[in-house]
Amino acid sequence: MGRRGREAAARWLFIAALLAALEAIVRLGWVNRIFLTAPSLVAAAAWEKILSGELPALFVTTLFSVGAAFALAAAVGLPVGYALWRFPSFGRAYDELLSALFASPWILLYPIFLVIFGRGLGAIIAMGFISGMIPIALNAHQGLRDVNPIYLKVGTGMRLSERQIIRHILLPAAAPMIVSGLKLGVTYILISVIAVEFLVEIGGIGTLASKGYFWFNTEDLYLGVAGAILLSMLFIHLLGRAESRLFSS
Amino acid sequence: MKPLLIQTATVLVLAAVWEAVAKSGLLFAGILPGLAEIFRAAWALVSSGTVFPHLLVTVHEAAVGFLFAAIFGIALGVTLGTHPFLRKVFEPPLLYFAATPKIILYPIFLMLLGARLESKMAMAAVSGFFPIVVNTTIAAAGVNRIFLKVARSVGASRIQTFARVYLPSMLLPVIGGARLGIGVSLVAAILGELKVSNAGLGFIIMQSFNHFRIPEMYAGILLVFLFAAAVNVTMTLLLARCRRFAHERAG
Amino acid sequence: MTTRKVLPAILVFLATAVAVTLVTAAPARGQLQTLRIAIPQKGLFDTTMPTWIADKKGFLKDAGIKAEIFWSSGGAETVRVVTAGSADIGLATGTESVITAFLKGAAVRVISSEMTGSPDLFWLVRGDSPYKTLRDLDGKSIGFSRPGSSTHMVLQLAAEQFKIKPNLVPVGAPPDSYTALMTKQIEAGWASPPTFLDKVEKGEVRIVFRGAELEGVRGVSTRVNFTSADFYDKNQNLVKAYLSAIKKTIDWMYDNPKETVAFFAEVNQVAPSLAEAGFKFFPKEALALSPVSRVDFSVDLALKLKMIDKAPTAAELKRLIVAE
Repeated sequence: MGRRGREAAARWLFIAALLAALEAIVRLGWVNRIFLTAPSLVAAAAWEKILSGELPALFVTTLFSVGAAFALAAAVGLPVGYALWRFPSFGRAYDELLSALFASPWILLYPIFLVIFGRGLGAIIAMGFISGMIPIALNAHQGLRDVNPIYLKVGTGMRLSERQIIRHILLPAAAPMIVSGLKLGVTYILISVIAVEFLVEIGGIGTLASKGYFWFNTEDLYLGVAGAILLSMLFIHLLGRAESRLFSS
Repeated sequence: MKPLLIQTATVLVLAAVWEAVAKSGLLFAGILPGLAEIFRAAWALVSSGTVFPHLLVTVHEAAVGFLFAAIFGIALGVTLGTHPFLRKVFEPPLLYFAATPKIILYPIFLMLLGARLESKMAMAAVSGFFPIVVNTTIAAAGVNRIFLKVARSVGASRIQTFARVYLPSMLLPVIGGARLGIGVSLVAAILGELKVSNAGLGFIIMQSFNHFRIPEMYAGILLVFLFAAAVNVTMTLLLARCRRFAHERAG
Repeated sequence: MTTRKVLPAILVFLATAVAVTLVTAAPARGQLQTLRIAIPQKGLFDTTMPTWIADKKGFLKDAGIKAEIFWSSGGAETVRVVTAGSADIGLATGTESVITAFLKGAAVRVISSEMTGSPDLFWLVRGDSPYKTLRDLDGKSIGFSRPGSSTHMVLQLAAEQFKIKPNLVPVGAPPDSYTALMTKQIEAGWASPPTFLDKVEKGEVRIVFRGAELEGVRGVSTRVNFTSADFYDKNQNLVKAYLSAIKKTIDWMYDNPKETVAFFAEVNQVAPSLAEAGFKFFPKEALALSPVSRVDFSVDLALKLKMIDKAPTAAELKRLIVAE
């Protein structure tokens, strides 16, 4: 086993030990079963829900919200990022504003979104849109700004049209930053989607956790928590792989 | 056109659009009150003193949570940063976990710690922990090897090495992590209050919402934004002060 | 460390320990026993007023009780607040919710009925809509709070009683319901007095159905007060004292309607005329603390909503319901 293998093994061992400890604590009856449940029972509940189709449906709802929000965020964020670069004084002005908005606790505005978009996926997608649009736009802007001006001069020197310059010089040069922004965008969208699903119980995997808590279905609660965490981790892992594959040349 | 001009103009235009939509009745009256109503409600909250006990509760929750986050975050960060094997094993899962929505852990805290302040402190702690531990790990690992070798060669004790080599080198990134940590701790505490609580800024917002006192709800949100901005500005100034301090020291 | 540094440190520590002990011990040695009460939906007449007035008029103090109120936002949350140890008594929670929690392992005990029947709910339609009674809403969308709530249950029974097949939509709390109604997402929204009675007065909305019209739920204890099993075992006298204070308060409330209306208006920050209109929704019998009747109804409801998958045994019910 190489060094990488040893590290991975250590990690899995650690996780296995934690799960085993949890299982033991619950089986030995040290904790009331409305507070903590055994991993095996959570897995059993998960299997039951997979078979009934309930769990896939929840994941699909969450993924749909994330996907829709991402499509909107990219469709708006990329052109906005370009516009910020194209018009530098606006770029400087809105860079600061957008960063400030992003760093603010805007997610607390969720009651307002509910009121405007109704108590449904619309509100969730709207909030996801904002979480994703800002990092995508800011990163695209930064990526374009980082392009060495010499490349652009080369383009004009070769008498390329603006569209050709964008397609063949700008975009490829800015691509790493843009893709990084897209990756960040998806991550933040997923976080805000799951958070609002949990807070408002509209649907999706976040709602499973909330309902499980309030209705004393401890297995559902932990299933929801685990599901949300695993979904996040899966997303980041896949995005990381896609990113490195895109830029491995 | 100067950026500041554009920013001011944008804010004014947005305010005008808000006012127009509020007065037009596009969204039914009551959902989007006019700005004057919101400011009046905000002033009422402040001048009547209603907001201060709740502000204190939220600050208390965020502060205690942040303290725990800082202690554990720095401790773990230094440990991982100085032990390469541990870092390779635990840093990836930490980074994965950092990108998950911590609010999902809230019911667990509610069950274990109850519905009062403690569960919000736990939310603040868990949320603030990650920026701090990530930054501290990188900072501790990034301490210049040469300085460490020099310290060892002059026979410096553990404590001296820590104070003279690690601390100055790590100060900026750790404070940077703390600045992020404080922000997320505060938001996490308020999010918890929005779901289950009996006190705090989030509680005020939710109560106003439940009793359909919408201008008051917006006022509460406005006050939260102002407070968060104030905390952010303070931390940014602190960071700038530390940056100057570090540069003076380095010379 | 030298003695010079250690001694002062020890003295400071001892002084702090003594001070903390005195401060925290004092209330325990006081005359009144603190009772932490979780109350859902602050401002709702039946959930809030008895305890609120009992506190303000000194009936609780006479019983040796100091009330510490934790306002929760709804039934299931109230149970969680109590089982988490953040409150000793939980009020006004759907009977089916308490039964469900109990069967899932929550150590709770039902100490009294809180609401019999469902006079506290009503449904609104927009002022300009054509609906006169619930029958007109066949096939239309009607809002309720959340699955498993009393609003849900009442709507389902009402649909049976009026022989209609409406589309039931979960909309959340009254503010959300009102918004959904006014933005035409639903044709009828729910509310509880005194919310939106002012809008009714202005004609913006119209009451199309009252929970009091529902026959299927008459005589059923729809909401109960409960406590944690542990607390009950250790504090039976305190619980009994609280309940008798509340009973006394309810008697007083209906003997002194003007003052009651004033309190009601104050808690909700509404005009006294609205408070009075809201008060009229609640007949005294609905607030009776005993008996806890027709538990079978709540069990059936819990089964129907799949909150539990099998009914509790008689022995389990006996263990759960310690009310007189």
